[in-house]
Amino acid sequence: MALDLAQFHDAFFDESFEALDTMEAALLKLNVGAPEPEIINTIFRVAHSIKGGSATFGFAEVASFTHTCETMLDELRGNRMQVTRAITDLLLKSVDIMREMLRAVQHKSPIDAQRVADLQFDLELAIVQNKAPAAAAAPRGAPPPPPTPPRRPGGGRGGATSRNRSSLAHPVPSVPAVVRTWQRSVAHAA
Amino acid sequence: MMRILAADDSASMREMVKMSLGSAGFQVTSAADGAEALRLAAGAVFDLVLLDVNMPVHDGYEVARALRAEPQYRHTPILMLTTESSAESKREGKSAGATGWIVKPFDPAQLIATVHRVLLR
Repeated sequence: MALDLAQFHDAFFDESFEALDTMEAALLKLNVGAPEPEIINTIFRVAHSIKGGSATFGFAEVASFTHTCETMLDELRGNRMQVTRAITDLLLKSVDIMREMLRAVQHKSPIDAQRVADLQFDLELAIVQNKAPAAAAAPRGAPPPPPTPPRRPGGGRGGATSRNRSSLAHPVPSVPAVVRTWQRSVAHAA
Repeated sequence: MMRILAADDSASMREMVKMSLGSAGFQVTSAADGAEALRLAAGAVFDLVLLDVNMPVHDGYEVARALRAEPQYRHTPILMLTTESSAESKREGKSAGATGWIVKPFDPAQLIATVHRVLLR
């Protein structure tokens, strides 16, 4: 007998909205100078849990976005990235976007895919940029790390750059891949 | 009837696992975190344990290690239920005593098939 997964959607939405409230409160509590590992773990678990649930219940857009948040949080909890005000601001914006996305899928209304893609791109870029110092500390003789990409110019919509941002309809590419395609698109546009 | 202990901090996942395995004739007891899983495991005997990796209080690895230290769970199949499929997390699961790995997202049929396969070994 095939089980209809739709019967679990309400429970998934309830727990996800509750978890996002927890994530938001934890982010506001986070000490930027000396973040408490348990608070970062709590935040990570929220993203991880929403990713797992949304992938299981067929909400691919939510799974893709939360996967990027989870990647950043994994870097933070592994101390490979510093918790800065800019990062907590990005994560707080991510909480808002995840709420909007979940409301949209819950009510079967459209998602503002461009806003989602913009923020997802900013998260991916922040992950690459904030990992750069570690790459610079590579042993002598190692090839130099690729140059850090500049912030995208203008932030305008619909141009060559936005076409290459991770699309919601596809799995999230690896961060270096995102930067490479982005660099290519800048070169083409120039 | 085979008894299964399933621990996951997500209520929707617990419901889904319970109904999926229930529909296949298993009796499922759910736990919302690692500590509850250990309490339930101490109070009854289960034929198989399903553990989410990322759980508050005690994560799945800690629960697997604690269960393996108990004589009645030394040979019980333990399946890790997680979105993580990296070689490193699998190694950690293996060294904690896990028998196998179920990667989310999975559908009920995959879950039932894996549980059957592990129990028939």
